[in-house]
Amino acid sequence: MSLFSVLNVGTRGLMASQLAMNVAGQNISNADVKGYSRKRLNLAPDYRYDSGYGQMGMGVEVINIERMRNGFIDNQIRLQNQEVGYFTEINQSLNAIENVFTEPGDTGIQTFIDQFFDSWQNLSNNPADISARTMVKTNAEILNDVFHNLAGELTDLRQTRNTEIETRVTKVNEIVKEVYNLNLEIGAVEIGNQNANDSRDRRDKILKDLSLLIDINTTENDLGQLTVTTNGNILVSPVNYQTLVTTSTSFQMPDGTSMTNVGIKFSESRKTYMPQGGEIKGLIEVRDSIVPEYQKMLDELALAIVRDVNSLHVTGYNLDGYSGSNFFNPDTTGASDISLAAAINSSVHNIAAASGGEIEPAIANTLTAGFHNFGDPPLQLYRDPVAVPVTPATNIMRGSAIVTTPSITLQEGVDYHIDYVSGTIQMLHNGYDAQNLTVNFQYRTGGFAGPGDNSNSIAIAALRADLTMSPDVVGNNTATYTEFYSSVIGFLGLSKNEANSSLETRTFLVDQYESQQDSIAGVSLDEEMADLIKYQHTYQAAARLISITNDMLDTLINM
Amino acid sequence: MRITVQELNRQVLHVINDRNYDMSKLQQQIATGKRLLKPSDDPVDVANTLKLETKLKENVQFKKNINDGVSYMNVTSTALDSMNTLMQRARELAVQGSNDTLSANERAYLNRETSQLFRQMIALVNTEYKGDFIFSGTHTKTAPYEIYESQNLTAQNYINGEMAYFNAGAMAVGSTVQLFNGFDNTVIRNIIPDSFSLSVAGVNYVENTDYTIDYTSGEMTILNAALLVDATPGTANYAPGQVAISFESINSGRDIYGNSISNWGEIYREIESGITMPININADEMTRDAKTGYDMIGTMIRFGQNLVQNNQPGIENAIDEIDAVFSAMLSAQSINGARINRFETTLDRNESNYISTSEIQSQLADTDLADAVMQYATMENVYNAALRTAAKIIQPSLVNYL
Repeated sequence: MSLFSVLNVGTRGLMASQLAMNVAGQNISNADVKGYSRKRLNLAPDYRYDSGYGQMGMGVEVINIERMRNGFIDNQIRLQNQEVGYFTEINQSLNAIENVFTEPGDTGIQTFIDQFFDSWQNLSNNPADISARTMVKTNAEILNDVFHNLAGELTDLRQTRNTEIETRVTKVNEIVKEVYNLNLEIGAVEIGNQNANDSRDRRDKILKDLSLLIDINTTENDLGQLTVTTNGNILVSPVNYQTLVTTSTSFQMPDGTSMTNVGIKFSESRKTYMPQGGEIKGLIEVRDSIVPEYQKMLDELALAIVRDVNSLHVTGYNLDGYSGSNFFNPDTTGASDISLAAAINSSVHNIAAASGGEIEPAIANTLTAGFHNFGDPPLQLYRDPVAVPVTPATNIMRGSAIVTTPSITLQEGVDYHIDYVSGTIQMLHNGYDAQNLTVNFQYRTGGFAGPGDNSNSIAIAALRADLTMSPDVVGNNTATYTEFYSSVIGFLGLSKNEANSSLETRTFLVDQYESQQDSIAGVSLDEEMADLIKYQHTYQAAARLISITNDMLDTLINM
Repeated sequence: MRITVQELNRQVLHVINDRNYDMSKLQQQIATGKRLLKPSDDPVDVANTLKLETKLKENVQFKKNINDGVSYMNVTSTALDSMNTLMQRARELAVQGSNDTLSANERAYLNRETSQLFRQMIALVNTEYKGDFIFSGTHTKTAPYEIYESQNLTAQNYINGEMAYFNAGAMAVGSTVQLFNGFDNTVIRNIIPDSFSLSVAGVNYVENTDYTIDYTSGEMTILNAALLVDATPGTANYAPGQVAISFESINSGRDIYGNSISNWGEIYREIESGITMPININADEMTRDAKTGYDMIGTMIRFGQNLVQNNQPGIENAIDEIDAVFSAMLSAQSINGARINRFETTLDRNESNYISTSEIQSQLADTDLADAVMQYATMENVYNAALRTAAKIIQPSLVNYL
């Protein structure tokens, strides 16, 4: 043991202190960087020399720079993050749906349904008044517009989920690729028995981001390389990676518009991918089950109103004494295409406020050959041609007449014309005058009771309080329009609350884990400052050692 | 456990965020006055609010219906009151006319007044409200009784068939001929007793001397041979300056199919959920006594005819007939009055329903301002305390002291 070895010790001490300062400085600078784990310099005495007086070290040895982080907690965070991502998307979409419905308030559809039925009540008080009729038509148009709006916004919400999915998939692919590259880096570094600290930090950080998007599982091999799998499929392996590919399919909705659905496949195995957690799962669920459910309920409401109003309206009489037209277009498929029937659009006279009698089928009338020529006055049709006395078949149901020869059916408007009020038929040409014609039709027993008859409009207005929806097991309806709609809104509110509290719980859990991780991996400035002081002193002490040894050496040399 | 910079930051921000969220929620509730802004605020209450809202709107609409019905029935009531007065006057005239001491001329003068009274009654039955005939049931654009006037002034009148005719060409004195409508050859009925006049070739003929009329059936009994002419359209007599008949007759309204109306129908108002009430009185109901079968038209025409023909026993009968019609009208009045009462009772119920439902609605949906403002004040305090302590915590570190 010579003085030179003491110098050595001092030098090693200086270097160790310098390195320690470096590490402390690194920690301090990165104190508020997300995902940074603090580094710790591991020093150990250098046991090398058996001096004969006992083991003695030759100074301080730097073992390694250690990265302080708990891998188990990271794993737990990733697990919970999937749920956080999933519920975030659900929550957000339910929020958007709440904003679409705008209940409670004056702009939600409930207000307009009420307004629509109020205008029928108003019509009941003034059945012949044109302005009351116009009000009914206008309020119906407004109601239709609101339905269209709601349906359109829900469809929009559904379609935009597709874009969101594509964005997320792109992000997943970026991360997957980076993880693969980091794997290589870490493998290269750690094979030389070093710690690839910063690469690991980076890898942990992006894996945390990935866990928000999809559900992942990770396993690490001895070389420090990670295999990332999702739902049993390998995304990243030590030697390879595969990305996700989006596919697009279109399909048609009942109202004729086409919708697209974005699907995900693995690029190598070509298998379809259905994530079990994360934002992408949430987006898919919103698009495929949550929004369609509300669309369906909205359609149910619209169709019920169309069906019920029409079935009453078609039996009623309009202002001119005609019966048999629909109020809403009967070809409506749902809330997106609910519209008024052409007859109502063309004139408000066609709104059937009056009702009258039952519908009966007539006994077939025969028009004898040779007696129904073109140019003859209109022939009267009878309810029962052989009864005595005969009753003219006034009030024929519009569209119910079928005129046939023994071989073919004639066309209304082309071959013949029927006046539905008086019950007369007139030929439009002589093409069939050599044959007997058979006329079958249905008629109304009551007849038009005058412009003051408001019984049909009262019946339509009373639909508001009738049980018209939600049939039970035997088929009886159990709810009014309002009760049905309010239960939809209640369901929406409850779902939102549920999603919200799930999100809060999961977020809280993640926060707890983050706190725990932080207490291990986080940088405490106070600690680092204290360390700085410590290393400053050790540096000074080591320097002092060198200087004193130097003096001693001087003394020795100058002997 | 180690507390790091990041941890401190996170906690501070978390708490401040939470307080901010709560305060903004409360502020919204206070500003809008509504506790329920979104379904997720309280799903069960929101669902109930929607149902209550509908109930309130229905209630408002029913009130409108009730008020509308009541004004309609008030108009009916006024008309019936006037009718009451007229019927009383008619009875007085009947009593007067049945007095033995009256001469034929005096009775003829009485007829003038009676017929005017009759015309007023017709006008009353044809009362309109908001452009609709109120005694026509659902046939609101058709008057219950129309007065038809026979025209014979111009050649065009004859061409249009606006003058009536009869055919007595092959008959003898004392026989009865029917008067027909020149337009569609239907029988003339219900002629107003002071409106008939007849002239042939410029000579005016006198009732009771040259002919008598049965005003109800429209038949003429000829007493003067000069009237034994055929005045059917197409003959030389059916021309200006030849046979000229003037009269006014009463037709009852027809529906759009051209049939005379037997069921005038009822007009309903929905005054409560599921409850509809009729609000109209039909012309038949108020002018015809179901028990005896006498109706106003027939009674007044017979009365007038008996006055013109100086038939005292007939005039005495008129008193009983008028009484019968009167009782029909009185019963119509009482039905109307009862309905008005029913509507007004329903209105009271409607209004108190509205108040109680609004109260429930308000409790559910509105913010309790006092409570909310107090909560806000507390929250504000907590928020300020949080901010202050946050400031104190995140500042000092060892760096300051080295």
